Amino acid sequence: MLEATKLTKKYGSFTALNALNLSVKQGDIFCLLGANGAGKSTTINLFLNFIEPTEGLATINSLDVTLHSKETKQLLSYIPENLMLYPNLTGLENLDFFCGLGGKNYSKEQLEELLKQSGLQVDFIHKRVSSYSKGMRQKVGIALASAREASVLLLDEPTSGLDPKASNEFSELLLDMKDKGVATLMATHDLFRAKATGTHIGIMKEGVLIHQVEANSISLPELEELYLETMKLSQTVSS
Amino acid sequence: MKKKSSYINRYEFVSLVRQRWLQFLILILTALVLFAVLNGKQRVDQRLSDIQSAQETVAEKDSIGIILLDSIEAGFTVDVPRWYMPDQPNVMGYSYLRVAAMPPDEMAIIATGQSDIYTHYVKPNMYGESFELNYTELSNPVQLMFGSFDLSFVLIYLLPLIVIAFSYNILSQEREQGILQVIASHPVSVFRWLLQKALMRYLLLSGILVALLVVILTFAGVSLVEDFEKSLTFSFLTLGYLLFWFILACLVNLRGQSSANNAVWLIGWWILLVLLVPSSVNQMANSLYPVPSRAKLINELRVVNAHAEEKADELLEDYLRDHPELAGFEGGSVGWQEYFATQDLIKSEIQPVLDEYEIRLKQQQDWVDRIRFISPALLLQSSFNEISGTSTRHYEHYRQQVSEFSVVWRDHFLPMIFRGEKFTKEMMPGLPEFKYQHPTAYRLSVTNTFAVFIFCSVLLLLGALWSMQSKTSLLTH
Amino acid sequence: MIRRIAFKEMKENLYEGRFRVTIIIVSVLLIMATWLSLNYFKSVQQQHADAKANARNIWESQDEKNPHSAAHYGTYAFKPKYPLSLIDPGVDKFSGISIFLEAHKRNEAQYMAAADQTGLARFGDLTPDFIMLFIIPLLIILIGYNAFTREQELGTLKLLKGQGISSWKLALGKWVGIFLPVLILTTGLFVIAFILLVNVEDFGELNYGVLLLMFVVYVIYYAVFINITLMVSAVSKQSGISLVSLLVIWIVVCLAMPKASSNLADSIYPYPSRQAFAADIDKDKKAGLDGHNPWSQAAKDFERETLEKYGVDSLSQLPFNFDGYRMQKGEEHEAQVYFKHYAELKNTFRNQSKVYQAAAIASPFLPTRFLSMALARTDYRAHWDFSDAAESYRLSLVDTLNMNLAVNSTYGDWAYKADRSLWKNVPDFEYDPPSLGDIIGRNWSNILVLGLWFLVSFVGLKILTQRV
Repeated sequence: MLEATKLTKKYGSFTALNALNLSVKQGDIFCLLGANGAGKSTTINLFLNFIEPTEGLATINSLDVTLHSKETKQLLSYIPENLMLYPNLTGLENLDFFCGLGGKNYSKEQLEELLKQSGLQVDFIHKRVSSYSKGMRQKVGIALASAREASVLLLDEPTSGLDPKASNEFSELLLDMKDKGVATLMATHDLFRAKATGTHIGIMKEGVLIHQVEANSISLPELEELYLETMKLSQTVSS
Repeated sequence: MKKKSSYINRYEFVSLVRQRWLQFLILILTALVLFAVLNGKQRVDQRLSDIQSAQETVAEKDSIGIILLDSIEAGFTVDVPRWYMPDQPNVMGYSYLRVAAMPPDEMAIIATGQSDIYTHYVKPNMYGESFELNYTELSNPVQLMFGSFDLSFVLIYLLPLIVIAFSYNILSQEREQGILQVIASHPVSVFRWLLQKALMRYLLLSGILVALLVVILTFAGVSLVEDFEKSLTFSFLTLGYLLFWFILACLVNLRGQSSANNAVWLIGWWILLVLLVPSSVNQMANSLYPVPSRAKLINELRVVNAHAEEKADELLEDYLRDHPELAGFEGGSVGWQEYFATQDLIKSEIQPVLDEYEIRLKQQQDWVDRIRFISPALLLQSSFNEISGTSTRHYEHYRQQVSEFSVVWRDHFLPMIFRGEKFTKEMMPGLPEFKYQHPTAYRLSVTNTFAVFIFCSVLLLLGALWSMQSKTSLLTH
Repeated sequence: MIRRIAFKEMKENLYEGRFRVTIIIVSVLLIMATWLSLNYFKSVQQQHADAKANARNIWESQDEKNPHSAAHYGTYAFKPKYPLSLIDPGVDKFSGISIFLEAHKRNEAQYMAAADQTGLARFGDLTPDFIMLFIIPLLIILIGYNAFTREQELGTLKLLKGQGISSWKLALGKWVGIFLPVLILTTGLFVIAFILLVNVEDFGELNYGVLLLMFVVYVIYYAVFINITLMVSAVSKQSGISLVSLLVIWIVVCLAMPKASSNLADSIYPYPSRQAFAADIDKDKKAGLDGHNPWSQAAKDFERETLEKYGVDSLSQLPFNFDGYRMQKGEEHEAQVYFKHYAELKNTFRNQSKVYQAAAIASPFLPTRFLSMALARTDYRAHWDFSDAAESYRLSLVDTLNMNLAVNSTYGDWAYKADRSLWKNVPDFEYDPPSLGDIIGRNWSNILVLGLWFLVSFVGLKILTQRV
């Protein structure tokens, strides 16, 4: 579904992403780990066509995202670190609006059902988003992803700042999506979540994807060791 | 299946209502338009009643004149000095004057224009020259300096500021809140989304404005169907100007800077286009085509006067040679002929000096007309004054008409004076009357309307080109 | 502490491109405006001097003639330009430049410059006062709108408060940080104006005290704007909202209020139209003694009274020419009529001024505007002053001429011609503008309101910044 081939992004002499090769298939949850500035968000922004690659190719469903921006966006749903919604509209209205932008029309009942499924408290459905917590907004994001019937999910540190319970609920929802055959690319700092929910894990540093492992082939302590090892290694490489 | 645009429209509307923008717009626009129209109406009413009372005074005086003439013709003696006797044509020509009035146009409420500087009626008499008439109105100069809070001020100055306050953050707010990225992750172009939003706001504001204008102007007694073409031009100009500022607001937003920065930029444009450009254009017109000193004119007039009086005797011969029809009547007064001969000489000598003023003013006006395309505010101002019939040109035209009338008025009495004839009651209805001719062709407004929309199209094109390049800076930090 | 905050503010501003660009633009505009004004005033001053000399020359070179004819011939009074009109031309453009002085009639000043310009003249001119009254307050808003909101948005406010600085000291520091650059700009302008005025010849006498006072007025005006800006910034949640609110305030204070108060003044105390005013005067004039009409009832009464007073039987027995005497008495009656009507007009003007003064409570722009004009002697009062001076000169001129006729000729002798030396002996029209003391005396209310604005806005700042 998601494919990056020698994907590179340079800002002047600074290389934000260096010849990334990556593939996320249906039912995969690919977790990108790495420090700030490692190129995780750049990767996601490239798939979103928010920025254009200097070299290489990013495809969704074999379509080049730069050439078929509209078609590929039809397929994907995006939840940033802090999903912002219109504060003066209710959760339901926000969902309705963004579904509309994605070309999907739902009745009020259907929208209510979608929000309930994503775990939003019923009495908040018709309250303005200005009264929502971050976790509640992320739930609206998941509802949006499933409403849009997205086959690709791009997540940029979606659980940072969530309390453990909300974070857990979010992971549950991701697994539901996975079962529906959605391909997910998620940037995260949370090794524990990556191990628990991800099917594949990549570790990035300075724009390079250094390691790529299957989640069930590695234990959590091993993953942590590998991560820290990688960070040190990179430092010596760069110095 | 509902279209994407209908979702954008609907939720934009809901958002505006919940942020109380809609309520605020209706309230502030109603207050502004109402106040401006009331001020305009007061001015127009004042003008009408001034003219009305002048006409009444004339009618009153006429009826006294008729009574006097009746008595004189019936052979009674009347207790009036000789120089108040209406059977003397020179008395008629000097004190039984007609009102040469410039009544307001149908849409005069819109713009005060030059109407607070100039007077709207004069009574030219037989002796005076029309150039000696003082056309400036008695007014507190502080009021002239501050100007009037009229509809033209609301639309030209304040409306852009309302648009700026309403839309300086039309995109930057979403960007700052992080919603823009969520929108951009959907299959819809940011530029199109912005246009749709701006269009929605534009239509909303236009709708409110047009409805208010129609209701309040009609309420103030302005018939908008009377001269439908003018009403239409007025609406299109206003809507075009509104559109211009909306597009400018969108363009500035597309630069991808913070809301506060956008506001500063937009205010900068407003100051430039509405305050600085017009006053600079005026000052340039003054220095390119300087009107000669009026102080100099005063002295030249005196020299010419003195010169003419010295030559009065020899003048008379020339004058009678030019006007044989006026010579040699029994009982006619040589004094009169000498007087008018002198007047003619003064007029012919002073005319080139006077023409200089009119020519310079006309050159200024022509230059201003040519350069008006550099700011939409100039386009609107020239059009609004034209539509209201309060432009410099209208007053110039009026002065021209009065000048022609004063010649007609004098020429009506001259032969009688020279022949020593008496004025009789039967001649009363035959007195020349002044009828103000509204200039039929209005030259600028249609072009101006097109020009405003061309402004908009160019900006829109620029925006489309720009948005293709500026995507990156909009969506990432 | 206050100084440290002020320097931090100025440094932050200096690093910001927006601040540098606006300061440069405003400076360039100020220089341009001053230069344009200087050129304009030099030429007007020249024209005025020429015209004045010319008018006197024409008056003096009259032939021998009946003095009353000379009174009809008349002369002109020209309104002088004052040095400080370089900074604030006030209402000069909208009031006439000269008054024709003749027997029997008080004329209005004629030829306002605005009537010789296109409709664009109404947009205003690029003169120093325009920049100082409109643009510099905007500059203050642009520098200061985010003084507090920026710290709030960046979170540095908590950091600052964590250092134990009081809200009031913080506000004062910010105040000084905005005030200093504005003060430098204003001082620069006044110094340049001062140098120009000292170096331009024939610019009349310059009273340095007035220049200094004008400077103080503007500085207070800016202080008020800084207070307002900081208040709004302190209570706003976002920079954008603060900026837009301040712009709304600016529009209301500087643009809308002056216009609205003009409309109000005009609708509550309307001026008569020129024609109606003239017609009313004519009516009153006719009711009394007409110097040229010995047959009217008033003239006959006057004749009888005079005969009784001097105890003679016929007019020719009087020790003077009764025609000249009657003409002078007629003149005096007419002068009274004019005095009455102009007093009414002046009263209307005073009432209108009261409307402006009341509106000044809602707009610090208005008292500043009026004070600045008054100090530059370019306000409407100064024009009235000139007009009144011209009228009293006219009366003394006509009195001299009529009495010359009355004393030097006998009744019925219309052939008398005064010697040409008489024209030269009549003093020329000289007009001294109101003194500084007069100006201050007349503008108490404006001074008071501006001072009130200054105090109240400072107190408001203190109260509102407590919450920060």
